[in-house]
Amino acid sequence: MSAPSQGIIDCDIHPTANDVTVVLPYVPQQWKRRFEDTRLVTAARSPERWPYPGGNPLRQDTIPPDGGLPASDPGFAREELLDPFGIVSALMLPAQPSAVNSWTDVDAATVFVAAMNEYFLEHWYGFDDRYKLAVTIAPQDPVAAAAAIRGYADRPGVVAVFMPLIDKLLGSKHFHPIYAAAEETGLPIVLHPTGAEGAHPLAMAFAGTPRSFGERIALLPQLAHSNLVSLIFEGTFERFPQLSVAFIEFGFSWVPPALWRIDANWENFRYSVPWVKRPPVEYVLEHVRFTTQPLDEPSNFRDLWALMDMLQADRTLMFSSDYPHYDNDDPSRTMRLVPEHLRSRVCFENAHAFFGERLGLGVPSL
Amino acid sequence: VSKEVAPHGVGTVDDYAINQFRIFDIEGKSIGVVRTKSGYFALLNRCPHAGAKLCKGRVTGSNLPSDPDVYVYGFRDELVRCPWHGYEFELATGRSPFGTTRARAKTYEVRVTDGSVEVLVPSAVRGERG
Repeated sequence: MSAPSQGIIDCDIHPTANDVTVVLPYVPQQWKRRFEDTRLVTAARSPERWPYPGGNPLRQDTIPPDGGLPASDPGFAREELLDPFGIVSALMLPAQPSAVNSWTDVDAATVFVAAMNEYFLEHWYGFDDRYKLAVTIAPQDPVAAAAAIRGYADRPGVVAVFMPLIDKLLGSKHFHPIYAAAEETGLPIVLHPTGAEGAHPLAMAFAGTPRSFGERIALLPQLAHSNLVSLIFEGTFERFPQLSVAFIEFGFSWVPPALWRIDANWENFRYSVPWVKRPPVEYVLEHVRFTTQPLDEPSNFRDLWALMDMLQADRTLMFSSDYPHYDNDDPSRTMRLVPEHLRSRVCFENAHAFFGERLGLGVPSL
Repeated sequence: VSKEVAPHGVGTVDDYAINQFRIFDIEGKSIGVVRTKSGYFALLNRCPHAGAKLCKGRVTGSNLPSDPDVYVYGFRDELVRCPWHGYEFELATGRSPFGTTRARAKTYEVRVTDGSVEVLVPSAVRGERG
């Protein structure tokens, strides 16, 4: 099975800094000493917080030849991922700054994510412009986050805003300054688990606390489900008609039945949320996208194809690999498992339309 | 199949409290008749969504599509809201306001002559289902 002739847009890779103190050159002077003193523990994690059963959730075969952490070398990731699979654009969602959804010092979070953004723009986008950045924001301070978004409006290499999930659902008014800035700059909002969800009171909770690692991963769609419902019923896309949102690494097979239920409850209770003016599925088709990884594995793959049809995957689904994590999807395997009539939409055109001309791949055809 | 439409007496105007459905068995169908500020209306007592007894629901209005956080009430006393899932239908037409659902409630013509209220219902035809 061949990749689409345009190549592949990968909506989820995780570049890593070998040591987060690499951000110090990008940090304002008054914050340097603070970060040097604390040594920048990015995530408030107990070693026993869902320990990865195999020791390390990063693919050990992605450790660069000269050592360091997996996906810490843009040259090696290029050899391993971009070149062999014909990936023409890879969206970077760095995990280290995303963990600020567990930080209590909001100003420190704002400063830290800004510095990490600069690091990845210089060392990855600057190395190969196929690497594009979803700039991380610290959504605990929506006014500062909105200002940061506006500052990235014209930055080459920036194609989206990565918003870690905090303790408020996405339809909350708390996020309105962020959405206004996203709409104004035309930058889509992308969401992705950070690892703090369910394990830290400042990050979004699960319904109950799962015990083991696999239990947690199996539950990740729950977070996206809650937020999709919230975005719809709060009328977010009526308030912000140019806003775009992508749920990355939350899977997609849960979406069709979720939409049936959302639509039915809108029909039942429209009179109580009159600002939801249209059937919810219409907002999703226009504003919301989902990604392939981790591709669910029913015993009969035709079941997955049926779900893709129900999801209208020709409009809503985008390819993602999740390189270099243990559960990443090999692009050629995903190519094989996405039916041919959907392949160019899923692997290229939908993401091209979603991120737009900032990808540097011309004018989207959709 | 041609259907004869026959008038069926459903009481006098004095029998009708405002916005209160009265339910009759006519030609094998359960039919609700109601008087509102706008006149008399009759509907099949069956919600087209899930078969609930629609005329056991409230005569009401609804919030019009509006800007976020704003409520604009309209259709005052022009709708019936199903007692089950809350689907709303216009008493006059059976349509779902705002196109919320494509399903449509069945309505019948009502006429008032010299204080007598009559609903016009097609005669039962063999094989027909209400």
